[in-house]
Amino acid sequence: MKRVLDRALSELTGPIPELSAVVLSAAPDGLIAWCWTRDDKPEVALGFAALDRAATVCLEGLGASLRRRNLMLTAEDYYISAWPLYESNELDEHAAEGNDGRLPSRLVITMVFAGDIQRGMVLLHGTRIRLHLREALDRAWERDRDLRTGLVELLSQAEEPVELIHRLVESSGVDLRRLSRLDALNAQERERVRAAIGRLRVAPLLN
Amino acid sequence: MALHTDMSGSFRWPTLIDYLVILDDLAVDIGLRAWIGALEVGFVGVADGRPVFAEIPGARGDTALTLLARLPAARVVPEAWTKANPNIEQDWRGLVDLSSWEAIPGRSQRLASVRSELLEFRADGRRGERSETFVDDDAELAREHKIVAQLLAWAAVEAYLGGDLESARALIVRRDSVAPSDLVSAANLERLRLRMLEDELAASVRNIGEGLG
Repeated sequence: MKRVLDRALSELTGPIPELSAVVLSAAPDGLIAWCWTRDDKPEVALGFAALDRAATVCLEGLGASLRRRNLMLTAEDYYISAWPLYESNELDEHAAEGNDGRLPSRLVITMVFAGDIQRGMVLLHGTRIRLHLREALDRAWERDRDLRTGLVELLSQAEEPVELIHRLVESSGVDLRRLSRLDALNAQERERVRAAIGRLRVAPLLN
Repeated sequence: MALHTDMSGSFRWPTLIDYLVILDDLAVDIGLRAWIGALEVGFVGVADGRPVFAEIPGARGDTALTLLARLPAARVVPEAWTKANPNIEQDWRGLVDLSSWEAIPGRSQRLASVRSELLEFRADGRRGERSETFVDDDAELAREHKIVAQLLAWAAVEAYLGGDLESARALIVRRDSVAPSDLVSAANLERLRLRMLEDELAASVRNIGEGLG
């Protein structure tokens, strides 16, 4: 998913030069699911995860709903905004469409804007980024779910997970670069990877 | 505020012509596949920054490029492509309606978006070429480690979101065994351990309370 989100965000980092970091974290503990920073310093994400946790504790203490929260923190030349990746009404729509609500319901997106930017533009850009990443995540989440689940199951059990990936490349004929974007595989590649996962599941050492 | 920021709040996907304008500068070989929703409507092959191949159902070459460029609603998705069977004869600028393109608002914003997307695509391609062209075992191995680490890290988040904290913890531990010394992963593991400890303590307190009651 990292490559999916990196790629999706790359379509917006050019037109929004004030954007300096984006973090996707999982509430309530602020586990970091993915992060991007313009200066390639992921450690900055740890602070935002802490912010996410603090907001959760504050709201829980007040008895307020976590589903409709958003956070805006400002400093000279900086705006930090955090929203649920999905608003509560969108989650209801998601569930009504029969989609698995498990993934998005507790994901929080935090964005940092730096420089001379107005609050209104922060909200505008923030919404655009949120919707764009959500669309990319939704698409990949559904599309590569079976391959991802199968692969993770194998990797969890393999004595040598890296060796297993090496065997998967050999057995499927799909190169490593393509494997890093499971959602972008064409139908033929998907079938080859699926078949190779099946073979490795049955006889991991013989393939 | 940057001058090219779109103040209207509208957002428009980049058009085929936006891609061709930027590719003129980048001089790369690339394929551009056009979609309207889930429907594939055409393909343009670009060699050394110039469109040399175009195809839509029912038309090829110059005509296909002209028609494709008239579909501003089409979403263009770049993909790897190697020059083959060129069928475009004229310069692309003579085949498309540049005045209509110039009238579409938010041009500078779209061009900036296309530029960053194509640079990312090109960088990704170069990383891939390196692993395919040179038999560099270390680089290949590093890439395998990276893919495994990314898959396990994401699986851990999925397990956490599904409420399976023990699996999430096991997946992070496994991820760290493949690619250790990652700050974000270490922080995630620490948060998870604390959460599990807090849950355990809360359960113990509840049990004691029930025992006393």
